[in-house]
Amino acid sequence: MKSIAESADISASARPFNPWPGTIFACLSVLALLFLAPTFGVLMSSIKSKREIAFGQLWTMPSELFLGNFADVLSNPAVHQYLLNTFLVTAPATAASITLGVLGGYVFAKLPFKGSDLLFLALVSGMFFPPQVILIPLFRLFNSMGLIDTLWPMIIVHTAMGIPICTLLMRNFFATVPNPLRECAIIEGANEWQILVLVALPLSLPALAVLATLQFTWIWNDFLWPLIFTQSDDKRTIMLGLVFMRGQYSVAWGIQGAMSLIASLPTLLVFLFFQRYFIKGMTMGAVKG
Amino acid sequence: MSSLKLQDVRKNFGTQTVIHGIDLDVEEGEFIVFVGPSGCGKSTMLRIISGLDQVTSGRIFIAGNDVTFTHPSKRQVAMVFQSYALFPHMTVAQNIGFGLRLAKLPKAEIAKRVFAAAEVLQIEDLLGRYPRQLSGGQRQRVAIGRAIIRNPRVFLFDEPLSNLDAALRVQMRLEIARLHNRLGATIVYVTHDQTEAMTLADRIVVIKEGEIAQVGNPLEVYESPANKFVAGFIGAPSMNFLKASIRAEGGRSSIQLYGAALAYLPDRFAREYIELGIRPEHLSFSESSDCDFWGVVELVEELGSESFAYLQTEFNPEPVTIRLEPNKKVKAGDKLPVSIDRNAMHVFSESGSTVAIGRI
Repeated sequence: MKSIAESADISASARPFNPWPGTIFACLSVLALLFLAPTFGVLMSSIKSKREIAFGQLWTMPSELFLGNFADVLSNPAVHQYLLNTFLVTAPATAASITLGVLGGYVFAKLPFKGSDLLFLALVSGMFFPPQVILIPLFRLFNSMGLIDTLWPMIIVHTAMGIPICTLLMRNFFATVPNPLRECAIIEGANEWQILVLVALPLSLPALAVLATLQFTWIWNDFLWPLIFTQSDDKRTIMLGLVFMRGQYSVAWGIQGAMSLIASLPTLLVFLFFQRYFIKGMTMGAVKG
Repeated sequence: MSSLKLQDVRKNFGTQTVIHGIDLDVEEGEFIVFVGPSGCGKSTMLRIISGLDQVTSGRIFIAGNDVTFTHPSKRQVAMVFQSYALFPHMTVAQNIGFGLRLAKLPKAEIAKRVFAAAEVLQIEDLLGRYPRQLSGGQRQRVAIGRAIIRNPRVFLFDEPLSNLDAALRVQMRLEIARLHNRLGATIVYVTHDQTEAMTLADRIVVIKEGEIAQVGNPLEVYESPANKFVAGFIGAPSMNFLKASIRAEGGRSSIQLYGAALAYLPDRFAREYIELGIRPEHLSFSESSDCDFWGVVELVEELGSESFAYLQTEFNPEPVTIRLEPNKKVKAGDKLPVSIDRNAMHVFSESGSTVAIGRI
C-alpha cells in the first residue's frame, strides 16, 4: 500500500504542466521592475555626488554613499517654504473635504429626503469632470477675487474636488451601519449630531483612514493647481518647487532626487500611519464581522 | 390608569395601509405579547409606540400623557431590538450607560447605575468587554441592561430571542419572565413564536394583516379562539381543520363529517358547509371500530415527552394531526379508527369566524 506522500507525488507528476502561473508571475515581475525602476533611479541619483552623476552614471550603484544632496535640500529655506505651503494646503483641504463628505454621506445614507438620490448622483458625477475643463473659469474667478498667488484657491479647489469621492465613500460606508444602532441611539436620547459623532463616526474609522490617505496623497502630490494659481516662489508647493529646483543651464539630478524622496516622505508616513485601517477599509464588508 | 393606551392607531406606507385602526389598553405592570405571522404589522406597532415611526392617525397615551407626537427619547420607553443594536465600539458598561451619558449625568452616578443594572442581569463581570467578545445570550442581556437602566414606563421588546439557538431561547425566556416579575414593569413584546407568546404573556394580542384578531390571556386565546386564524396560529402543532356539511333535521341541524352525523347544532343552521377545528390532543384512537373516521398513519413524530401522528383521511386533503397517548405505539401504514372529543370541537363558518365551541 502506498503512503499518502507517495500518492501525492504520483498525482503531482501525473498533473499536466501548466505554463500560465509561471508566465503570469514572470510578466508581473517585469512590470514591477519597470514600475520600480524610476524610484530606484531617483534613489541612486540622490546618493551620488555631482561629479559621479556628471560622468553619466545615473543608474549604477554609487561608488560611495553621498548624503550631501539631502543636506543641501534640507538646509535650503526655499524647500522649507515649499513644504510649509504644501502642508498649509493639504491639511485643511483634506480635513474640509472629509468633513463635508462625512456630513453629506450621513445625510444621503441615513436621512434621505425627496430627491436626495438625484442630488447624490449629481454630486458624484462631479468626479467625472476633468480639472482642465474648469481650469480657465476658475483662474478668472480667483483672479477677480484677488486670490491668485495665495494658497486659498488650492485649498478651496481641492476641498471642492474632494467632496464627490468623500461623499460617495462615506455614504456607502454609513449605509452599512445598521439602522437599529441609530434608532436605539434616538430612543436613548441622542440627536443626529450625537449619533454621527458618537456612533456612526467611530464605526467608520476604516473609511476615514482610506479617505485621509487618498486625499492627503492626492493633494500633496498635486502639480496642476499650484502651477495655475501661484506665481511667486514663496507660494509654491513642493511638487512645483521640485521642478523649479534646477539650474538655469543644467539639471541638478542629485538635488532633485533627494528632494523627490523628501517630498514623498509625508505621504508615505500618512500611509504607514493609517495603513492598518486602510487594509481593513479595503476589505470592509467583505465578511461578517 | 393604563400604562399604555392605543386609540384607533392607523399607519399607511404610501398608499398601503399596514395598521387598520388598533385600540388597546395595557395595564400597569402587564406583559403584553403581540403575536402574528411575518408582515402582519406587529413590529410596525412597536415602532409606532416607540416613536420611531409616526402614526398616520390615532393617538398613543403613555401613563396618561398623549405622546403621539412626542420624540422617542421623551416617551419614557426603552426598546430591545432583535439584532440587540449594541454599539460595537463601546464596552458593555458604555453601552448600558449610553443614555445616561447623553443625559449628562455625573460619571459616578452612571457607573453606580450601570453596575446596579448589570447586577440584576448578572453581567457584572462583562462590563469591560466589547460586544464582539460576548455570546448571543450575553449580548441580549446587555441590550436588556441598556433598557432597564433608564427606568422606563414601558419596555418594548422586538423579537428579542429570534437570533438565539433553541436552548438559549428557552433560558432567556425564563429570564425575561423573572425580570418582569422582579421589575413589575409594563412590557410590550413582539414575537412570531407562539410558544413565547403563550409562556410569557399576561395577555396575547393576535394580529392579522394590521388588525387585532383577538386579545386575551393565553388560555383564553388557546381554548376559545375568536376565529379560525387565531385557532390555527396559536398552538403547536396547529389545530386540525376538517370540512363538514350541515344537514337540516327537523328543527335542528346536524354536522355531517364524511356522511356521518357528528353532532347537532342547537338551532336550525342557515349554512351548508362549516369547518370543524379540533386540536391534536382532542383526537384519540378508538379501541373498537366505533369511531368518527378512519385514518392511515403517514408519519409519526416522537418528541420525547409527547408524540404526534399524521393521518391521511379520505375526506381531508391535509393530513390530520393526532397526539398519541403515552403508551400508544403506531407505525406508518396503520389504518386506525379515530374519535373526536365532542367537548372540544370548534365550529367555524366558511368566513372563518367562530360559530360554536365545545359540546354543541
